[in-house]
Amino acid sequence: MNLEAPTSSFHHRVQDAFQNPGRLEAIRQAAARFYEHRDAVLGALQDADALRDLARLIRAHTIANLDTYLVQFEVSVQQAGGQVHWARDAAEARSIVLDIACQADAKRIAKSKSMVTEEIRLNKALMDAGLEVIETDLGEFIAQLGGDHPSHIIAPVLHLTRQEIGAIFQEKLGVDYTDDPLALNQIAREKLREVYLSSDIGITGCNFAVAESGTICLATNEGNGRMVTTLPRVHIAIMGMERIVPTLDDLAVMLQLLGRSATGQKMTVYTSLINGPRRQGDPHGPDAVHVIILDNGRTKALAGDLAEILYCIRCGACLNVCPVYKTIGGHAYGSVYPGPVGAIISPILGGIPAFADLPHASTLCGACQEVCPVRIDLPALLLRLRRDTVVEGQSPSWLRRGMQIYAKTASKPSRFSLATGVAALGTRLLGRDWIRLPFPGPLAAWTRFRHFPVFARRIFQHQLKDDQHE
Amino acid sequence: MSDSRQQVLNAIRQTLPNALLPDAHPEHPKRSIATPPDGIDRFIAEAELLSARVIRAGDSLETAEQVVRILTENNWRRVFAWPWEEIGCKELPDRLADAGVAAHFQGNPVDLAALPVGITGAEAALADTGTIVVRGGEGRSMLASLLPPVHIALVDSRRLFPCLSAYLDSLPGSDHLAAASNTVFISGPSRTADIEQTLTLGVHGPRELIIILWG
Ligand code: SF4
Repeated sequence: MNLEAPTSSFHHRVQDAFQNPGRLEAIRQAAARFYEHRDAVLGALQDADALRDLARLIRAHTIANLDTYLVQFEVSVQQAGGQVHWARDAAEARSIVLDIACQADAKRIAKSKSMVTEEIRLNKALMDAGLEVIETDLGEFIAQLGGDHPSHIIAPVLHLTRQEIGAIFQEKLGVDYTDDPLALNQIAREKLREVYLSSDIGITGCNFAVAESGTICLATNEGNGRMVTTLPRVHIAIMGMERIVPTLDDLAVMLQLLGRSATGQKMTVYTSLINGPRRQGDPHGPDAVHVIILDNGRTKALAGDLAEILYCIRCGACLNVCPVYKTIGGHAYGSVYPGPVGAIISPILGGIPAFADLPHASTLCGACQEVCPVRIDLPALLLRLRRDTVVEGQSPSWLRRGMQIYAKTASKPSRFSLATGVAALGTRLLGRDWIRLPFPGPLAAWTRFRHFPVFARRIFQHQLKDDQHE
Repeated sequence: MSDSRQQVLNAIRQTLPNALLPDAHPEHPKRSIATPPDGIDRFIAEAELLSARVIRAGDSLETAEQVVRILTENNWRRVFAWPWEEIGCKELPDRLADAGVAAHFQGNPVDLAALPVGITGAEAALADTGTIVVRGGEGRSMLASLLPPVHIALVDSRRLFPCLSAYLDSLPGSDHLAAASNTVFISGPSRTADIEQTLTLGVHGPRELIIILWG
């Protein structure tokens, strides 16, 4: 499969997440802060709605002509002196990177934050091949040191406290314990400086790829993205094949929305436009630039009524408003891609059996669609995926069994009326107002946290009959 | 490898006719969004919001004096700079020499990383986001705006645009940006909030950005 399957069940992962309420609280607070900032800057933007409409049209048009724009992009990159590789799946992408590393006789690799390299599990493959791989985004660096996984698209170690980070630095870097963020930053700065200056290869993702100019656009705040694309001899950029926009004008539209939607920044601190390796007269810069265009299941997304998810620009705004994400956190999704967007992307890339629960991990409240800068109808996509889980026989077992029983009962009026009558009597016997007793068996989990509603005294069929007689 | 290329492209071409792509139109959508009429005040306000320092200067002589003042105040005797003709402030080299400041234009990044300040030009400033556009190329190292802890950027105020789109519109075509292997839009000094959402400046890039807007 294109995406690694989680090793434990969704319910276990959620239970695990609940073990650490402090972490969940940190995630909630950060999500709220991102969202507040987003709201403020988008509100202040003239024509924000028109801009989002335009961005959606651009994304839709691009995906509808994806083959054309990818080929145009390929030619433009080559004209700029870069090399383009195509990878059908994660394994092929990994082997392309390994080949490049081997040819460049590389030992040390510096990485800037990228979801797609997590998706293809690149780090492990490189390290298995004896290469040293260092994440340079501060959050990712901390996650890597601590042997942890990122929990948020934008803020990878949202779930760690400064004390936990201080302990990780003390243990892994052999420095004196401190939990002062400023001091921790300084330690990381010094450590990573040395990494940039001694790495042979820099690996990045790609926020946008511009077809007309062959530009790789990277949006970062810390400057590590600039370091790894300027100092090492070789730069490898890996892009999901849907990252394309046709023109630099289109890029400007996306950039106006990306930072604002992600963190409430009008622009990320550094927005780099990379056009191939260093040219004659450039004092610095890589000698070689490789771009890897990755499919890895994206053509599967294109094949039907879930294709709209490819409009996504990975801003993370839908996570920050999602009541489910804010309750269970990122790790519980068991995927590189959490939140509403992850609940759609993960089953598409990783297969429904591995991620069948994710489309159900939504209240369908619509907040995600409301904030999505390209107005993806995420709730509709989630519903279609739920349908697909049923078609593939992968819907949760309680749901399947329940629906079978319901179908039997509801297909005959006599049975239905009998059943509702029994339910009305039963629920009234068990409690007066709201039933506070925990139920046994399959309803136990549900009633542990919720009250079971009492059915109406007179069932609907009888009420209807009475009304008709009047 | 070319095989994979063909397979990916074939797969896209086969699936596209069945893809449900709401709002997809064959023609490329064009922008008709009004650009804000923002000017210098907006630029300064936005840049300062991002913790950049903006200094206004009159002619190029005053600009050179401002740079020298900052350097001598901080006792910075060595700078990592773009070649003077790329910065476009003609009094600057003599003034720096008078002040005893030595400039380095290229070399081994390990040595350049030890310099306390970088001086570059910028080819444009964008008012609505407080951004400067720093374009690499002939002699213009991208490291001068990145490695030193302080970055001083000199921008001609006639190169101020209301927003990114207005700047792009002013260019003859995509060739201008494509002609440089690296261009960066810089909005404030390097920042992170990865540790408990505490904002910290200068995590990898400069912790201080000083923009001298002249002319
Ligand atoms: S689905 Fe929309 S809101 Fe969510 S990450 Fe993608 S672009 Fe952002």
